[in-house]
Amino acid sequence: MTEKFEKDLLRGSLDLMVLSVLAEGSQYGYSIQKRLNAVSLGKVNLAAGTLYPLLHRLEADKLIRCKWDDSTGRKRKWYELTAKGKKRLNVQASQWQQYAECMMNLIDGFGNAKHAR
Amino acid sequence: MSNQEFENYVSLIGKLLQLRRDERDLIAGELQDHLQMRVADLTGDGVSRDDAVCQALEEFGDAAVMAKNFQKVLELKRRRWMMRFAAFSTAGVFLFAVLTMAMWPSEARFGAPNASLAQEASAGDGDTNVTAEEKLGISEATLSDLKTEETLKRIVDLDFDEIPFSEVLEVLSEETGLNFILTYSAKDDSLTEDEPIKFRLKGMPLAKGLDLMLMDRNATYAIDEGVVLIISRDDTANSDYERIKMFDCRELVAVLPETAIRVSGGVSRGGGGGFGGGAGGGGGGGMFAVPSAQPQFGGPGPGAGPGESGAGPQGASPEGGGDQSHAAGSAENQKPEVKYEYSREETLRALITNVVNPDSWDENGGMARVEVVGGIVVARHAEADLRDLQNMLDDLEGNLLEGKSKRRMKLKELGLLQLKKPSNAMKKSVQPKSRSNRQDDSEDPFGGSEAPKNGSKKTDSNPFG
Repeated sequence: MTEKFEKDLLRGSLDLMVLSVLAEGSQYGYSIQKRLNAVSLGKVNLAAGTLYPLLHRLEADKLIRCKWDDSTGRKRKWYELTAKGKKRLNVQASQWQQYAECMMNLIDGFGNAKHAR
Repeated sequence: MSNQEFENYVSLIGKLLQLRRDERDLIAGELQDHLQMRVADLTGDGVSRDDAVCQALEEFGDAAVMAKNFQKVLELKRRRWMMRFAAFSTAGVFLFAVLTMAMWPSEARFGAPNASLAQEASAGDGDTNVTAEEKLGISEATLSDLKTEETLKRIVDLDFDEIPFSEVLEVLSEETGLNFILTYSAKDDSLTEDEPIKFRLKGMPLAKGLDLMLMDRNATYAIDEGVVLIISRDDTANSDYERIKMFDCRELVAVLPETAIRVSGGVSRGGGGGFGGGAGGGGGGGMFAVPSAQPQFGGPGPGAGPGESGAGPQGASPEGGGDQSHAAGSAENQKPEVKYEYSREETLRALITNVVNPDSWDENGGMARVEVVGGIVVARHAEADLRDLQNMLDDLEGNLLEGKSKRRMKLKELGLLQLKKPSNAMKKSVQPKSRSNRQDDSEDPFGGSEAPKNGSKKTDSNPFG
């Protein structure tokens, strides 16, 4: 089946992943998990035990804010980016792009799998 | 079955995290929503409900791991608060040091080497090394109190998010170096160590912040030989929690006007200078017949003043609580007026008992005491009232000794006084912005995020699709 990314590889980039998903619009925990799973073609399957504490930490850092809603008949906690979160996303995204470029230059030619982009 | 298993799971997390019930319920609500959606997805894919529940719970991972991850977030929140507090404490100490240096010695009220005092000392006994503190003879206990008082003036941000009160005191103690004790006085009034404190305040002196934080819990603080005691608000008048404080007002007293008071016949001066009603007793009240252009004090007194010749006739004081020009009354027409001269010190004392929490002074039925001796105000009162007294004396001294323009300059330097803008500009600035007609998204409680909603990025499985 799908080979998942190693934990070490994910560490340090999970915040950016969640912030990026929330940049698409407000979401709740399960939808964030599904979105990450889908966009990574199953390579990122964030466990709830990791995802929810992470969301609470981002909330404590005021990078995201939450709101409870029960208009759909089910009590649900929605998250969305704050202005501070948008700023952080831009900074981190820029750093990651440079990092990825650097890595591509270094590892080009190694490994079997062709990178997607 | 699913509910029971999930309840056990959440309960275990709650216990591991030592969360309160409402906090646990919030986390449980979020996780339950996740679980239900996952079960719905799995059953939609043809998995039996029981298997779906088992799988969903399995995917949640170990409860202990989740609890550990949540614990890290909670600890981070607490650590961050402590760091913020420390940063503001340091800034506060620095600011205090700068201000002290800038103001010393002319602004220092107590313990400052007063220029005229130093000259007197050197001229009198030739000992130029005698400090004002030694000359005034401050006791160790008073010095401890003053140090604590200064520490509590630090400007801080308080941001407690459901932290037990005992932990709040620990943090305060760690950051200020002061000893905080939760007394039985407060405990008996239901403020316990476990009481969760949710309190947020920015850029305030710690003393005021502490008082506001405790106010909702009917508590306040007292200082006893440098130790900060948390007490019930009902016990502020208890002599154990009152503090004696002295204020050097020699310069202030020197510029106060000699005050005269007119009292109608049959009413004599109250013991200890019962101005503003204390003298006459009853509902008569009184007022200062101060020289023109001086502020007038007084008004209806509480009527508890121990008049030497007994209580005056009810409502007989013609000047009671009103403007001098409107003073009228039958008693005035019938009885001769008696004019009393009051010394400057008595004037200051009366000012204090009429302005700072009037009902709390002993001549007004309270327990607090104040005397003015040789230009030194000696007050025995609760901490908050001593603070008010200090503020009043500071302001009075500033106004009388420095003059309005100098004071305005100082306020401008501190950035506390701004020039008034034209009223039109003010009006413009407060014009409400018209609300754009936003289309409510029934699914999105934020009513449409500012974030770009890039539909193309979403997959079919995305619930927002």
